[in-house]
Amino acid sequence: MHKHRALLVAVSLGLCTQWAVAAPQVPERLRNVDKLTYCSGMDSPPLVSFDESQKPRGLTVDLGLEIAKRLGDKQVQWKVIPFSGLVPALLAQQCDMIVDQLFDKPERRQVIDIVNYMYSSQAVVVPKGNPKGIKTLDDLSAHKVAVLNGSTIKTLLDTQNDSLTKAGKPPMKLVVYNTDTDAFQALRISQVDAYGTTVETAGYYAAMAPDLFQEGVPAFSRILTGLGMRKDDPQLTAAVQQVISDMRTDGSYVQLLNKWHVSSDTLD
Amino acid sequence: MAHQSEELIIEALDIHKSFGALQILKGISLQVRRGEVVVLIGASGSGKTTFIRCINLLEDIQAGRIRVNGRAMGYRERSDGSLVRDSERNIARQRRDIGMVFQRFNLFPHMTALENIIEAPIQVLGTPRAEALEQARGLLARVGLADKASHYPSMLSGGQQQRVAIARALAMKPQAMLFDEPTSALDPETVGEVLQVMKELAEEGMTMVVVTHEMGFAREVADRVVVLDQGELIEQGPPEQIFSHPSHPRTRAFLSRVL
Amino acid sequence: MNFNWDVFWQYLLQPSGVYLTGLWLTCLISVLAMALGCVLGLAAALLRLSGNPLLHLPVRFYVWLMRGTPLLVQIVFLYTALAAGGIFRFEDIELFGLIVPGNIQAAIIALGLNEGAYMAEIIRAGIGAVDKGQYEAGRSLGMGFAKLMRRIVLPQAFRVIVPPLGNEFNVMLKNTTLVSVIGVQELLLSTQMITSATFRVFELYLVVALYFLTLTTLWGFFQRWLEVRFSQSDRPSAPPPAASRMFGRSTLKLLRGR
Repeated sequence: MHKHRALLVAVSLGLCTQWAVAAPQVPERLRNVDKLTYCSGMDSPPLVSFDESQKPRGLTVDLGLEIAKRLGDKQVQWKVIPFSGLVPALLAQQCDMIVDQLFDKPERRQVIDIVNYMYSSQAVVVPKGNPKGIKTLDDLSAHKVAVLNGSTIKTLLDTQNDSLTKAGKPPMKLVVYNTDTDAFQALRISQVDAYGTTVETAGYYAAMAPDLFQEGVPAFSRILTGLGMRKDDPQLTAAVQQVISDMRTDGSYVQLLNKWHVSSDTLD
Repeated sequence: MAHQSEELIIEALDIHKSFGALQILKGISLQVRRGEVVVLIGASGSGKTTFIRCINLLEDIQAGRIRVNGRAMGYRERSDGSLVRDSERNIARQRRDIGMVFQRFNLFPHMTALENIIEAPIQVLGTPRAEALEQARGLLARVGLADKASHYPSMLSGGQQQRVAIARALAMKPQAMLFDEPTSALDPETVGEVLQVMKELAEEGMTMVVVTHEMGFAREVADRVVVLDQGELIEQGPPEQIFSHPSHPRTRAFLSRVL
Repeated sequence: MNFNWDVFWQYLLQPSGVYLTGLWLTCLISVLAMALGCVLGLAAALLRLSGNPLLHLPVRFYVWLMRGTPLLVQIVFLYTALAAGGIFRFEDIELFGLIVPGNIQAAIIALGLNEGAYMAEIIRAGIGAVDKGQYEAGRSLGMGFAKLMRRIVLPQAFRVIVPPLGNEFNVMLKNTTLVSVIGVQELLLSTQMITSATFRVFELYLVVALYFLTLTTLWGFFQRWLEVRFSQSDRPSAPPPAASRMFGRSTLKLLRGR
């Protein structure tokens, strides 16, 4: 008798697990469409960038591809847009989703929806040996710092400048670039003293050329990071949310973060 | 016309000039004494305009010598006998001694008549402005245009412009004046006023070399008429001789066409 | 249509400090680069007249190079590529008590170098438009080359040069937007920075377009005045309207499609 019961429980549990994983509902408007269009700056390794053969690669790229697969094996078309133009492009319906390292901030939530997939932090990269002795944000006073237009770190450093000025110290000079690669380039050729970016990108560049760069100001301002969708597209938002829950349940989420060496950024 | 001296102002010896393969002047020699008025006549293509432009180095020569006021003009001789052009600075300095009046006037359009005349004395000779202005007004009066001092060339008739051009050349107090078909571009009504000025200039003793088709002027004013044909000097002499008893057959042919 | 009038009027009529700095930089860079371009262009045009190949060949190379490569490429090359190649780096310098950042120096020099090549051709055409008889008259009066150019030829050439020169400045005002790529906060980058914070792309790009339109229109009035002033000796007939002088046959020959 208990053999049958055990089998029944096992089968029910099995079925339940199937349901838990098969949940994402493909949004109505995308049911007959065979591809999803993603907007990205392709500018933030190791999350989104191009490899040597100009193919997208990165953690968020993999995540985007997985989402497309779980929403009915859809193809993915990438639209590369400078970071500060991503939200306007999404609002203008030039793509279905922003697939980039998009920080979850109230100003952004006012115009779009965000589904979070990890945590990130900010960091400041300096040349090897830290010649200007930059260890804290205050140390940036009177120095030139390269930042990406529209990035959160730019806003944070602007705030820092306000407090520096109030304290009577000379503010830092922010040099704004439209791509993160250009901002990093400015540090490479010593046109600036420091480069403000995400801790993931900072880690990536420091690992790429350890004899040239190091972390100046260590990770600060931990913040949720997500994918962006239009507010009038709640079905897509719900579907993506479901995919990410599923991935956390079936272990593929942790695998993904491990693959890209950012396990410390796991969602709680 | 006026009293002539023996002093040679212009000496051109055996001038040869070619444009590429085409030889324009085939060995022309001419001497002009102080106070002499020499008129060059000939068919188009005879080289008369080219020759006059060689005198003040607006054209360069392949062989021959030019002396102005006793000084060799514009060329130095290399050891192998070939000619090498003198420095532009030297040439510019020598050009001060010879004034030129052009067929198309060539007044400076962005300056008034008065400014046209004072320009060279101030810039080239270093004449003080007040002195140059006074002299210029005198020259304008002399050519009958005192009331046109502040007029721009575009507001003057062809004859008036040419008279200003003559005054402009005179402002440099040249030893001799070259005239390259000065009335050929003028309306017939204004030709007379320019020729009158030139006649008065001759009477005052200016040394002049004139290329023209105005045979009346040649007859009346020239001391010597020089006939060019196909790059050669075929005949020269006093006007009565050339016009009444030309000796060269080509002179006769030319004159029969134009007179 | 999704258009927020409040945002539009606010940014149009009450520009922020950042915006005004951008406006000032745009004008300053345009003027300085244009001045540099005119000086280089004049020098190049005069050297080009020389018969000496040592003098005119480098000029022809410079003009060919500047006109044959995109301006954006030249800007990035001068500031970023040369530094990346370890050849030359623009450092901040102190001038009259102000610090002039390296990228602004590079912007002015790149724009000026580029403009110089176009001005060289314009000035050369202007000089060529002067009747050869003017040279003969000047020379026969004993003038040397320098005096001849300065007193006789260039003043006449200037009349022909002014309309295309005015058009070049109009183009220069707009070309300054390209230096945003090397981090100079002129008007366009300032706009992009504000857009990234407010997401109001339509309103803000309309505002920056109107600002540029105002700048170029104001310049157009000044250009017209210049053209009238330089044709004074053309009386008694009244000078043709600026439009026909701007687009007249001889000017069209000097213009390229820009």
